[in-house]
Amino acid sequence: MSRRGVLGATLTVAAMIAVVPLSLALERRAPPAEGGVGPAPVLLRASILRPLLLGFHPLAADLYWLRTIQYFGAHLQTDEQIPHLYGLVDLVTSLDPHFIDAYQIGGLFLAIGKRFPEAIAIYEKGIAANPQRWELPYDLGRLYFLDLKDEAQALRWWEVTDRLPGRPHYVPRFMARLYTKTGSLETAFELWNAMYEGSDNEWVRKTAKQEMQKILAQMKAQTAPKAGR
Amino acid sequence: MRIVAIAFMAFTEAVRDRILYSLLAFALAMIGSSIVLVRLSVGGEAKIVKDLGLGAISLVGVLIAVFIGVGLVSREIDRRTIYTIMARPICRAEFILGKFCGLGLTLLVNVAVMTVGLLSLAWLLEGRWSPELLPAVLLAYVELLLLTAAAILFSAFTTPTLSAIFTLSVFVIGRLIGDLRAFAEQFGGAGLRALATGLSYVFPNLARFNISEASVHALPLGTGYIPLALLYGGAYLILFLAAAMAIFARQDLK
Amino acid sequence: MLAIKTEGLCKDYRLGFWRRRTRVLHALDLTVEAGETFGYLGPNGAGKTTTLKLLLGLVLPSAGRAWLLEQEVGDPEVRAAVGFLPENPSFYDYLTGEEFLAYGARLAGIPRRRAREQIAALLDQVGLMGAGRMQLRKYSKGMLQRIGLAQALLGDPPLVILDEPMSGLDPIGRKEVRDIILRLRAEGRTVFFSSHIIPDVEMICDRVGILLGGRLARVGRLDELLGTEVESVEVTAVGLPEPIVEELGVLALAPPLVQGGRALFRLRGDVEVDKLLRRVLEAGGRIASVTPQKRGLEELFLAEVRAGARR
Repeated sequence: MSRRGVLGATLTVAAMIAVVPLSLALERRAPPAEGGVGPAPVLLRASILRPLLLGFHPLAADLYWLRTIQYFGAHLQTDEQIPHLYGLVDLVTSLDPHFIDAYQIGGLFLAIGKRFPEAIAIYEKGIAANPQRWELPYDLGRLYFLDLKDEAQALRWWEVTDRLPGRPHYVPRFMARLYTKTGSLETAFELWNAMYEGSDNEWVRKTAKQEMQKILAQMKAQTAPKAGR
Repeated sequence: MRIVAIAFMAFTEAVRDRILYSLLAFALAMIGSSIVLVRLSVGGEAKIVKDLGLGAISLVGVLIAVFIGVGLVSREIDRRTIYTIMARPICRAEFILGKFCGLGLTLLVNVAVMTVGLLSLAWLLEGRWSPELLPAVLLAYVELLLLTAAAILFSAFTTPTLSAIFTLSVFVIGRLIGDLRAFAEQFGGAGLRALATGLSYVFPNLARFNISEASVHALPLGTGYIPLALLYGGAYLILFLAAAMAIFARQDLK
Repeated sequence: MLAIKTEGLCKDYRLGFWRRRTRVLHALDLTVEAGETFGYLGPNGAGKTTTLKLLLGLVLPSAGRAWLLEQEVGDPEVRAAVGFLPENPSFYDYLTGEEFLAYGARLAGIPRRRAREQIAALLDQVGLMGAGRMQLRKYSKGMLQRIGLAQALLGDPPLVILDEPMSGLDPIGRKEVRDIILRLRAEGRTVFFSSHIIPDVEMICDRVGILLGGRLARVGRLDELLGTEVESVEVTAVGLPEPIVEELGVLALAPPLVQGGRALFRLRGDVEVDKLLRRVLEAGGRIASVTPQKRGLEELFLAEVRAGARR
């Protein structure tokens, strides 16, 4: 090998070796990332973002949806605080107003985080954008009934559901129960059970199953003292 | 007959330039990303795969249309291969049309194979076929043809690099123009409104060919939307190609 | 019938940053008869290639008109009867020789079956029989020139236009191209070719035109152009004593060349030749040769170039 070749090879190898410590040193001096579960998500206004995506906004909605799930999952396991969740779901559903799963699951997430006004806002946004989809008023009715114990509102949204194509057969039954105001635990159980049966989504099914088990435990607790008396 | 010969030669060249390898990249990207997505996402898996597939069909096609399109004619001139061709009894317009059809055919094969791949993947995820995606693919293809014609038009009077920049600008402006016009109408003065309106007739409103959102959610389109969009695209196609032919007909092949 | 005719054909190019209008061809009037082999001569940049491209519609005239086979150029159909080989031809290098010729045949509108026969025959004719299935990227320069000739001959065109067909070829390649042109001439076809390699032109042309600075300087039959020029006669004598050689030297244009008993005299005309021959025989010498010296095309060409430079 010529002297120039040796020099070149030496330099190349030296550069390759230098890369690792250099990048580590740089890493140490870089501004620290926010601790815990990562930085707050960057939220842009959908009205500005959407045109700039040149028609690829559904894809952007998908990416933000993945970000939403990450955010929810990370905070659910740690501090149970999800202040940015509404902003994320709102952005996703503004970028793709027909993304039904995002309204449904986003609403469920918000309800789990006990952020009910935000959950209601998401469902109502979805209903306004997709007036022909029964799933959203149905879910909103369930939210009123189970979480807020507001039977009048629940009935109102199930009435909306009842008029929409493709609604499940059990909606009138729930409405009848509400009219007679009987058996709230049984209704709750049936509601979750309907959700469990009706969904293909693993996460939704798991959540519904947990809720059903809770209600079963409650029912047992109610019946046990009676039996003891 | 001669147009067909030129078209097939342009197709052959694209194939031998390994353009169709983009299909392989598409397949890998689709399969890889859908495996990741199905693990990561809660809800919307099929929608995400469809968005991704339609987006990739459009994006890969745009890149091919722009970067192959600007070289269709200029490369022949640069490499001096055009002399033996144009010394044959063919006219300049036939040459332009043949080249256009050749890239159109390349894009058709590309889009068709990608669509079959996307539909198969959606079938695996959902257990049913998604024919509602086909109109979106059809209009995306029309958009690609428009960009091809624009690329040929620009390359008829300027360098390939500038042509590529101009053609990409047509894509960006075309996809933005509807929003720009709405924006101008909401916030702009009379001058801005007039400018936006003028631009919206010079540039085709390419957002009209992007119905992927509606297709993925199986939303109804207005009656006669697809035929109207095809006519709209056809009109701009004729304008672009006619301009390209007119310019190329007056050009010296030095 | 006229194979080529131009009337006041002009071409301006816009050159440089300011796109200044520059005339590269000045009012060309040229006719080539059917069946002629015409050599179009000129130094590089004289406008030869521009003329050829004008004839084929590759560039458009700034003024004037042109006809091929008595049809005005501009109508693409004219070119159906014309074969063209561009200068330093370059083709789709991903095609094989056969594929390239088949493409040319399709563009020329030759039916497929006839094209197949012709392609085989042409490959044979240009000596590329074994290379038909080879990609053009693997062709040597000489092979490219030959496949270019083959594509120019597709469809048996009565008029063949060749731009510098012999440039860049080795002596063998030049001879092969020359032989092909001579064969075309024997077949009665019109061959119009440009060149700056004069001996090639001299050997095979019926007529030549000399283009200088975009203007046609001379055009005519070779014997006309050359025959009217100053001639000299070279006489070689053997066995002359040295004093006689010196004595005869006064008749010659230049001092005689003496080598190994042979003396070479350059004489102006017949009178001098007569005198010299008589004296040589008287002196007991022998005449080895008498060669009239015509002016060659090369000298004519150089003289024209020099004259052009003075103008």
